[in-house]
Amino acid sequence: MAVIKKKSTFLAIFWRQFSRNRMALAGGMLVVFFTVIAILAPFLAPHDPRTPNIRNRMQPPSEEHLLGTDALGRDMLSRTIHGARISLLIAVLAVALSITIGILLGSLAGYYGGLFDSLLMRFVDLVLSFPTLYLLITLVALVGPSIFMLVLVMGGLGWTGTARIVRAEFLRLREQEFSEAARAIGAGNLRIMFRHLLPNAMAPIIVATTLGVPGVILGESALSFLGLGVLPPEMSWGTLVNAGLPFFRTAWWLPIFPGLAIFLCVLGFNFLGDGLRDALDPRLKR
Amino acid sequence: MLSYIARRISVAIPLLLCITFITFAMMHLAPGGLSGVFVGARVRREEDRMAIIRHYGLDQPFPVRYARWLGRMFRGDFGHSLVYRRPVLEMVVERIPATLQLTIPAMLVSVLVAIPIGILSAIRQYSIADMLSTFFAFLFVSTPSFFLGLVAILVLSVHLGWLPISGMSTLGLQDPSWWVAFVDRLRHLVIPAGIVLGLGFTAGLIRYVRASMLEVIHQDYIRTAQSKGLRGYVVVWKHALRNSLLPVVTILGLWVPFILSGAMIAETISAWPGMGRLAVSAVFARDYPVVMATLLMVAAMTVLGNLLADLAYAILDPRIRYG
Amino acid sequence: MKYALSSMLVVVFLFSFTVIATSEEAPVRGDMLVYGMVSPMVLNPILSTDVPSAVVHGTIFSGLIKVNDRMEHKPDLAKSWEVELLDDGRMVMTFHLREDVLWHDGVPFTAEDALFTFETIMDEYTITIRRGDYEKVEIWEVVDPHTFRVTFVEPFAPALTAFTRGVIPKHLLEGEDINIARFNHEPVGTGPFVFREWVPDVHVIVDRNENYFGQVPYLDSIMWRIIPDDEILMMELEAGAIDFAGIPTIHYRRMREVDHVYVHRFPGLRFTYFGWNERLPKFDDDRVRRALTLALDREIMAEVIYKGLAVPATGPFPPVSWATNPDVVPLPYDPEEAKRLLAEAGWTDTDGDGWLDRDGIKFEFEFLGQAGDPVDMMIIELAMEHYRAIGVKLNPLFLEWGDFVSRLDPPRREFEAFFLGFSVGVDPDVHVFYHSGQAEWGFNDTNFVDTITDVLIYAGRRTLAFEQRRDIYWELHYRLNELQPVSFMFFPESLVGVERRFRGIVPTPVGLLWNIEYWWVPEDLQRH
Repeated sequence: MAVIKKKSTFLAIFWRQFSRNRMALAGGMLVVFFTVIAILAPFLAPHDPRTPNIRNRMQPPSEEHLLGTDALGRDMLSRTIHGARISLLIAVLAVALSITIGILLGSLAGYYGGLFDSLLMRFVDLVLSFPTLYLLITLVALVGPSIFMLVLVMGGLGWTGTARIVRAEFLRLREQEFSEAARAIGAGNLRIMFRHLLPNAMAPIIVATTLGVPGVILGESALSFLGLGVLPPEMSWGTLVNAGLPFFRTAWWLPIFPGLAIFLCVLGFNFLGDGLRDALDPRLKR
Repeated sequence: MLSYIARRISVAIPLLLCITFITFAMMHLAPGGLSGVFVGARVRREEDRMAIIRHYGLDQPFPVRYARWLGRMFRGDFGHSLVYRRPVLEMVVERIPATLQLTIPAMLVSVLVAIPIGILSAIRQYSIADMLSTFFAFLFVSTPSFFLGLVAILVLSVHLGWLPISGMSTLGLQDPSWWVAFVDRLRHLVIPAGIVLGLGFTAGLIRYVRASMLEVIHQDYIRTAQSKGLRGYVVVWKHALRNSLLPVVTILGLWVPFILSGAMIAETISAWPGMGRLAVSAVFARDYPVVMATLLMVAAMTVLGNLLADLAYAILDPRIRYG
Repeated sequence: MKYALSSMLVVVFLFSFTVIATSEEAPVRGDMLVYGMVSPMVLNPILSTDVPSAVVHGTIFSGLIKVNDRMEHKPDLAKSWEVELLDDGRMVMTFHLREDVLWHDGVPFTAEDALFTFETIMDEYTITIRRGDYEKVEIWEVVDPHTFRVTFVEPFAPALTAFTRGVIPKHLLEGEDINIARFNHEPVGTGPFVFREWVPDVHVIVDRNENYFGQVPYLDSIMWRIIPDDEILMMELEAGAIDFAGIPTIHYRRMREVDHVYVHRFPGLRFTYFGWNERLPKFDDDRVRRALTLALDREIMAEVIYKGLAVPATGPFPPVSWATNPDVVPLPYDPEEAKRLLAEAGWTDTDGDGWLDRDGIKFEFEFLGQAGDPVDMMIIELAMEHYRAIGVKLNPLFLEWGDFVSRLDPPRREFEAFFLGFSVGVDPDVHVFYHSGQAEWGFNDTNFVDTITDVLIYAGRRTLAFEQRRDIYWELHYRLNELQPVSFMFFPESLVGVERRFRGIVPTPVGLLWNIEYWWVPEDLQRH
């Protein structure tokens, strides 16, 4: 009972902090908005995003096509909606992958310490000090830019930050009373790590997750600009913007709308992440 | 201090080796293998294909090839580009100045702009200025840099004609005075360094300075200082500023890789003859000696950047002594 | 950003003596042409594989012969040549070389240089893809300092074209490692322009060769500014910062509205096609391949995607080539006939899922395209739609050039179908593309095998008399269009924007720079 009560007050404090932050609320709303769009894309898109309709090509925004049509007459609104799906899918999967690796390695290092810890942390430091875009384009150019590879490469390169955070939390937490207590009543290492320590380290992990998504979305769009983004017939926002760039001055709606979608979605995640950090970080509490 | 530097470098070496091994393996085992020699064309005869394979030692097992490459690399021989058929080291080295001319001004301007704005934002938290700076910081952090760059070129260069579209210097400036050449270079830097690279970096830095400053302001000794009756700006300048700038110096070192990644995009958009562009075209052509060398070079540059940040940290914070 | 890695064989830009009077005014000297493009790679005509390199070294080097705007062979370093057939069936070509030619460093040019050039190409150590052009050569000899003789094992009509390749100086390269020689970046030739400097990723500059043996150029210099991004390239052209740039199809309309730029459009030598791997049973049927061409509305594609700047192809021969049979017309767009032919071949929709099937297998294939070119991608996306309409499923897979080519090339040959462009070049010999003997190692990637085609190709190579040879190619053209060894797609036009102050420009299928020495700018319009 005591635990539940403690949780609810924590949540209440969190919510009070969070809801006072209008930016965070707006960010949360944007994130929910784009998530719903991504999930319900096939039901929300007014037209088929893939089938060309050449009689209809290069239409500026109109009632029928709110965001206009592209060079093959496909509805840009539908394409942008489906783009949300791919962009967010890549972002969520890549972040999930990197968070999982980060938690796993970070908690092992933080909990056991010793040689493994120092080796891993050296490795993390060094990977962190490497321009990942260089590795990213090398890997993607070699293996081909499929959704699967993009997730694997971006997720596989992005876990170092999380690992650091989790390790630091574990180092702090494992010396605290409740882990001593857990150990005293004979709980196993795994149990202590994942039942007792991890939940207490959740706050910074959640923040890292939220702030990881914009990185992947922007990363994918940068790759698209270099010609290494998702390829047709699939479409991500990055590919849509890049495909629209040649038409910047003849059909402005082609690059602008998917660009706007990237901007708003990334902004949403940044607002939300920032708000979460303020609300969850005890040091900034006033 | 020297031993500290030596330790940092010795730690970096295994990572560099690791990176070279992975990249080398990927480049040699990827479907399509090496195609640098054949860019834009195909080999018609089997005999010629075999001659090329033998020439580059591709008939050898992969570990042998890697060992051979490594051995030559340690002797300072990075080989020849498959595409340009020039010594790789020469190609990489001649592009470093351009990349530095792009990244150093970008970082300098960002720091000069971001620190005062970030501090102002923190000490006047929730003021109009704070809101505005926060708004713009988020705006620029959330927009793809190539998009910003292209819009800037369209507006500032094409429509208004204020700035050159691309390149490093204006054609037809025959033997200009150093001052004219300098101003010309600055004008060419505005978009790639100021906008493509600079805006996102400045925005991130503003957020960081603000947060770091807020944290210090809320600490006890500042409150103590204030309660002792020290006036606001004295507190800010003497205590808060110094302590809040320390983490900023560290973050500058840590952000060197981001700047170098950003430079890749900026160089491509603005036809700037730097390392990033070389790396991109080499990757597309699978010109493996060049890819390996550029990766090593950017890694070395980041290690160097981190070291410089550490040194600056040590100078700013007298408590720190490196053993 | 798209790196324009062209999939075509390089067409070397060549020069002619033909005087072209385009205006009444007398040409004057001066000014510089600023040409925007992606970076060249090696400025050595026997090593380069990419178009930008060929464009640059085309102004620095001369071949023994060259091709003019009507695609005829004209003298260059050789002032004349003769071809004789020996009694034992061999063919001998004798080139009589000019005696007044100097290398840019002042050393006289002789037959030894020609011999050195071709021996270097044939040397196994040299990393080059050009040896195939000379595989019928038996003996290279220097008869005297200005006579060069080449003996072929058999009559070989396409031989002449291979002698348009730039000749390199023996005195500077002998004993050097040609593969990595500094010469490749500081070239010395005999052409109308002299190399000045190459600042990597910034520019390449060449200056007028005052000692050129032909028409000494009017322009002072040419500067190639290296700009990797197409969008930026177009903005620079529009802003007048560059004078010359190739124009991507999607920018054609807009660039035509720029007052100070004249957009030249002219037929090129490149054709595009859909290749079908005939090692697979589903494509090893003339009816199926014909149906796959009939199902495509190429007229609409040309109109929508190429903005009318392409014509449906009937075969590998460009419309401007003498090998093109004027009576051959493109296969029409006829989805009904396509369905009928497929049904005849056993492909019908038995399970009612909208896709054709045969023996329980759906008619679908993985279709390889090159990533990067927006036009290519749109063609494939439209083709997907056209094929869907007849119940055939095209699954696109876009790959980088290196990956793409390695799937096509032996020994892998791991593909079902693909979209590619090729340039047949000035001579219509299509031996490497469609001869059955080229299916294992050559460019006959799709394993097209037809005895009559083989006979015609062979006859075309051995027949020296022009009219007889032309008749052979007309017959071959007809047969190829009927059999559709591949689905011939388009001949895209070349689009080049040039600042209006330049005079003397004559567009040809081999490009614009072929007569660069005749270009000039009126004095009052000169800029540099």
